[in-house]
Amino acid sequence: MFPIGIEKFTDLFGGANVIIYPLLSIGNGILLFFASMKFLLVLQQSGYHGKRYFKWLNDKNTPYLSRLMLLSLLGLLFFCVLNTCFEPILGLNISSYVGFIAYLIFMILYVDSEKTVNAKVPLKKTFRLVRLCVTYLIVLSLISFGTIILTDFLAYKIGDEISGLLRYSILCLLPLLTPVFLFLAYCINEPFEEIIRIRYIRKTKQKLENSDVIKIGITGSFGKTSVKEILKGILSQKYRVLATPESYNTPMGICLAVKNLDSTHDIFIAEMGARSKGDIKELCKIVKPTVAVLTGVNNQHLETFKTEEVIKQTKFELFESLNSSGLAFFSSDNDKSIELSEKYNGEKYIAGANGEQNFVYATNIETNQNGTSFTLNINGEKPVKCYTTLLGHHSISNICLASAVAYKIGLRPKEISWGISTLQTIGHRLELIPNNKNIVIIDDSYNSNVDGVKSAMDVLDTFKGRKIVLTPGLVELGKLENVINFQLGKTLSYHADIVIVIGKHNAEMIIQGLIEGGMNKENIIFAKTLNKGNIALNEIVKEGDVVLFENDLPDNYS
Amino acid sequence: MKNIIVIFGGQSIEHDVSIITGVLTVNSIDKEKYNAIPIYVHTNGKAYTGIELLDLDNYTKLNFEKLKKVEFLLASNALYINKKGKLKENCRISCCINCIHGERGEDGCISALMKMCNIPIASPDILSSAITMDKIFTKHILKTLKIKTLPYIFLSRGESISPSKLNINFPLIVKPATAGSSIGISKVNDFLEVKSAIINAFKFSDKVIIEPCIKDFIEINCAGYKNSQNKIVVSLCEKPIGKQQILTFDDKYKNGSREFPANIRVSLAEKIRKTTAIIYDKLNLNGIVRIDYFIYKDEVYVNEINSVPGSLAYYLFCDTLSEFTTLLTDLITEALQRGAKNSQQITHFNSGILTGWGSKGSKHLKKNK
Repeated sequence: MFPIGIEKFTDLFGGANVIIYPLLSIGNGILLFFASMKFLLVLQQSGYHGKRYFKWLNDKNTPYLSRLMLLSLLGLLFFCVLNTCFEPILGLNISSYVGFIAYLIFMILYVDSEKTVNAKVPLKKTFRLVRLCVTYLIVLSLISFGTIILTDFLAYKIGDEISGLLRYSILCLLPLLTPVFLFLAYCINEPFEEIIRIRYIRKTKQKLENSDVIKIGITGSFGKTSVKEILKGILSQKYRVLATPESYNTPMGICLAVKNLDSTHDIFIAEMGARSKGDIKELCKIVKPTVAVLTGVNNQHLETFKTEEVIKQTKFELFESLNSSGLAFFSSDNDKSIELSEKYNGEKYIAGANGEQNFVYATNIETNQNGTSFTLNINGEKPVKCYTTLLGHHSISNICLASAVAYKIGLRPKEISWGISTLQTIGHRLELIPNNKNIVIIDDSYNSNVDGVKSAMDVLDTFKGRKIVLTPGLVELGKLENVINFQLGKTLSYHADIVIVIGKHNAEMIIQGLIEGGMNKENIIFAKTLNKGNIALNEIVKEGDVVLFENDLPDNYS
Repeated sequence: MKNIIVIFGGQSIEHDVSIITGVLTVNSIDKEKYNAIPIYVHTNGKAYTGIELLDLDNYTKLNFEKLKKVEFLLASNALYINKKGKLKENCRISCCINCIHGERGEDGCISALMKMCNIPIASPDILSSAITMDKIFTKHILKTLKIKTLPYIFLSRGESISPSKLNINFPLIVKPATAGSSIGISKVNDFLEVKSAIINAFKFSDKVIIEPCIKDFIEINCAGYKNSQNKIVVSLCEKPIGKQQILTFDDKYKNGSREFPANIRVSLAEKIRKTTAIIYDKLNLNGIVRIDYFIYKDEVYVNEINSVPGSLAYYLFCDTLSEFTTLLTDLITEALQRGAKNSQQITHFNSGILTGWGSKGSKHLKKNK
């Protein structure tokens, strides 16, 4: 009998194959789809940015390619073994399918093991993701179909028994290529996505233009979200405010926020994030802010900006977009912010915790574990007493900056003070976590940076007791990453008593820094994952301790 | 442009008066700043909207089934149009002005509805509306504020009264405790008349109040509102002449049916205005509230507090209707600011009760079979 049960080439598309081909293709497509959830997540987290997606794939520290390799090779091996074993019993034709059992089992095991790996940021179900998934599933099924036809054809051409028996084993190698297939699906969808995006942005622009809300743009390397939340809280004493939620600071994020804008709103606050030059300009074209706020500039995202000068230029795009009646606000607690304020020629105000020459500044600042009290001085008005549960000196700086904006928009100092007293800690940003064990737990796990660490250390110093810090270090800092993490270790050694280093990404540099700073080796604990870090923490923590969770990362670095 | 709804009409004996207040208010809202939407609550309890409602002449001949039917949904500050059972969002509402007098309006019902819908209201809140609607509760509250009211006796439904309990001298006034206008009120001269007067008053309320019928008193009205600077503004005192419930602009200004400002001693006028400010502040009122006083033997007594006064008592603050427009803008601004502030209040708190409830015998909460 002919190895794969056919006589002529055209027979490939006749008989049982009419059912077997589509079944195998779609089945394999679905299996491959579920095996590549991780890549979908990475693609989504990299902001559907092809470059960043491949950077993650190329990262030596990502174990996923080796995992796929293992899956493919094991699948291939067992496929061949099973097929060969069953050949004498079932005959060549049927036994060439037996190997799929092994393939199926390994796939299910793989998908299941993927599931148990805790994703810190789960996959967000958006329409875009659904569109991508549909295309991806079709791509996978078509590729499976092509591969099946090709192998059958090759087996038919070669014509010997072995190639006939093992022809489908090639399918086991497809998982290895799923990251590329996903990118292919992404490339197919991209032109359509672009059209949808342009239309969406145009609609948003129009809606904002037709609305009579005051538009405020906030940018800076750090503290944008904090200032935005504080400003929203204070302005809400008098106005109905819509702000971009959480850290939605991209054009699409702003579009999503504007969806909720309606005639009842008085003010719209847009947080503007940038990863490369022109980003802010693009956002300003959508929002057309009349009030611009700069929190400060540091080397956050230096990796994508290349030089500090470019970062400053990019942030300044916000102020270039203001028209002559626009108001500009600069933080006085950051050197580069002051530098940029000097460059700006329109109506401008400088505010921050320190400096009596400021438009707004704070005096009598007193911080303890219950919060902070201070006196707010606005533009020579009668100073007002303020109280907030927000922690740290940088919070006061943010409050002063937000107060300046609120004052110019029309709130009286008294109203601003009331607004400040209602402010609540923003999730994961130096947030006090209540517990009944008399342990001060501070959660500062959201996307940290050098200045953020400084503030966290300031806060840590305000507490008594043994201080334990958990950190995986800082990322996305380009060439400086090693230096900065070494510095981080050194800084931590001065302020903390015990440091638990999470993950091996930056562990080496942090530990070197810690030792350089003079910390005893027995006070440094290394944990591979956050979960393991927590277990280690539970073993050592006792009443009266202060625990700081400093910067954990999105999934694509863990 | 912000959408402001004005609700009027209502299932109350003052339905007709309310239409006049409502239409006057809608027509007076500054059209350059706001989009004013009339919402008419029919005596059947259903609400309608449409520009037809802006003309008073229409009300006797309108077929309301042809107007747009309005609905409100919980936690949604939108106005929905009910089209054969299907709801369609018409617009978002920034603020509401309540012009329904009496039951199911002035008593806090509209404030409650707006609260559930997250819509700010330029009228008193639920509690103060409910208290001022009830003459007995009003007297209790005013007593704690050391503000004088006439002595009284009150009866709940089913309670009877003996002559010995009536230790106030005849003639007396018997009136329903919660109805707003003069309906159901009777003057009685002896005990025989009391019984039928009580029966009559119970038709309009579950509680009846009996007060002495004083003679030779001066009636004085005085109103207050909170402006956008959060300051209470108190009007001058007015002395109404005659018993008209609602006064047209001409009546108020041309026919001399009132004395404004009232020709009373300055010290009394000041006392009344001060009392108005105290009541407004202590009852935490909002919007325009009119307080009716008696001056009897040189003493000031509070008669009643109207949380939704007729024509919103604009004539106590404004000489012209364009001034009323400015006043309404001020009221709306105050309501918007208050609404923004209230929306920041903490409305949820994770008590931890629900987590771990399963281990604490949640079985007992389940329905017994």
